[in-house]
Amino acid sequence: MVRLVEPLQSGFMQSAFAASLMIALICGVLGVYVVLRRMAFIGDAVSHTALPGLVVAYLNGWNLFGGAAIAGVATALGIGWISRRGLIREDTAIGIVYTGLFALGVAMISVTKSFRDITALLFGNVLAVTTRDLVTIAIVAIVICAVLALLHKELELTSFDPIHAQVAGLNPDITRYVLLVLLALAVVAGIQAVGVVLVSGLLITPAAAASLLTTRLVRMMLLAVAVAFVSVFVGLYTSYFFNVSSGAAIVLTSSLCFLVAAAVRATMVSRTPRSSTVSIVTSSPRL
Amino acid sequence: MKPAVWEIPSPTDSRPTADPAIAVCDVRVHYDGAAVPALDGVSIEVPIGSRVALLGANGAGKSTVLKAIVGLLPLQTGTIQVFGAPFPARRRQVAYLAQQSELDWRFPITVQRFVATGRYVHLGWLRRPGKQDGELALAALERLGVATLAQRQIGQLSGGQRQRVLLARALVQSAEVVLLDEPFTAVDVESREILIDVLEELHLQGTTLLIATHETEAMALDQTVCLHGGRILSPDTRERERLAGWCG
Repeated sequence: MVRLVEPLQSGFMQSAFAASLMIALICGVLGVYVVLRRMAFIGDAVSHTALPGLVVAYLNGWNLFGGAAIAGVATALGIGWISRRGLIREDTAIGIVYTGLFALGVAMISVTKSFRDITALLFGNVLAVTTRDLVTIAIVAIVICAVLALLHKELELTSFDPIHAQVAGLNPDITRYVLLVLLALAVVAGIQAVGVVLVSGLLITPAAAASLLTTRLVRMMLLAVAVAFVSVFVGLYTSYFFNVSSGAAIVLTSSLCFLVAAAVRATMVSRTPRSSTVSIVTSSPRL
Repeated sequence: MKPAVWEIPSPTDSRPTADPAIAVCDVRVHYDGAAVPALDGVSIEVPIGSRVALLGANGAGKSTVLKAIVGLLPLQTGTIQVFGAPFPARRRQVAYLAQQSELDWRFPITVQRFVATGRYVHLGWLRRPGKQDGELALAALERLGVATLAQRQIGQLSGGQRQRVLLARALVQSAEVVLLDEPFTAVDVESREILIDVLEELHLQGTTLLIATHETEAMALDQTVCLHGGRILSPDTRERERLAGWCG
């Protein structure tokens, strides 16, 4: 028991837990929309294209978070714009922008020798999080949760029935762009914890695990946050005691959680009798 | 006792009574990359309170007409008016039932909440649906005979149940015009009868119905409009005779 409390007594681990849990919260909630709207590839792209933004911000002495956020948002909006124009398919547009900008970031690092340790950038180092980082992540978390709560009805409808939304006067393009901007902010916040390469894992895997276990949207979000929290706790303890990369440990734990969820789902399906769709369910007015 | 859904007051409007419910005038619609226009010089007038069917083979332009009316497709030429005004001004008065394939039935939402999304046109941005919206949704589901499925996830419904749920969503909107795209496709006999009953009831209440369908015999109609290759076939064309199977 003493051994379990030990990590929580050091300041850097307290900051690491605080930062990781906030990132887990936003990735869990937002990840559900990313999974349901099949935007996983965009999440991956936004995380990778933040790299040139980080380098430019570093070279100019700007806030790294700001640089990455601008690059991420620009990428998200750019992909949205290209795919809306219908010139090429969205996944192709993502593939082009994603690899091109990531390559630009790597080239800039190699030419300018701007980062001594690119590993921390690529795979994260939540153990080095500062108070300023914590404040930034907290602000991002508040903004994301507030916007998701405010636009819950609109995001929900445009996710499954954009035609009805448009006819009802709720433009699906607006919610899509809002979601892309939130996604960019979440990804950039997550880079601190798990790095450019692994942040999409924290965004997608907990939500994918939750989607196997429930057919209610809000419940799915809560489950995704729970999976992300478990991943953070187990990952950080593993990192502390076994000297494993914190980002890798967090994402590996969430992958294990997904496997457990898949097994639970398979068990649930095998135990459920093949009922027809007309069986009676008691209902009550509840929204 | 009538279910609550019938007691919703119609949206206030100041439309002049002389205007038809829908006036489609010389409309041309062209999809990006298509060799020929989807609609070419189409004019249709749908009188208030009438039941009009759009007939034609696949690709004739039936769905395109409905989509153009509700502003989902840009018009190259021509105008469309609803009660004498452009669609955005009459949005609340028009319910559109898209084909089942056009929405994601796997999404984690209950049937009742799905039906309540019919109220969103009245709520607009940021306002949340309230208890009354949920009760209206349940009343509409009762009218369509699927209230027992209210807490099901929408993907667990059969084709017929899905169509009933879509019509329930139109009911809670309390629209004066209902546009239906292939409402009888992939529908079981029981669902089909219930759908026709409710549509007849809406007609008796003065609701205008415009239905894109393959089936003329499904329900009584006041007018049929036959489309072929994006054009309206006039009643005396030989082509119409050749396509009598579609045009009745």
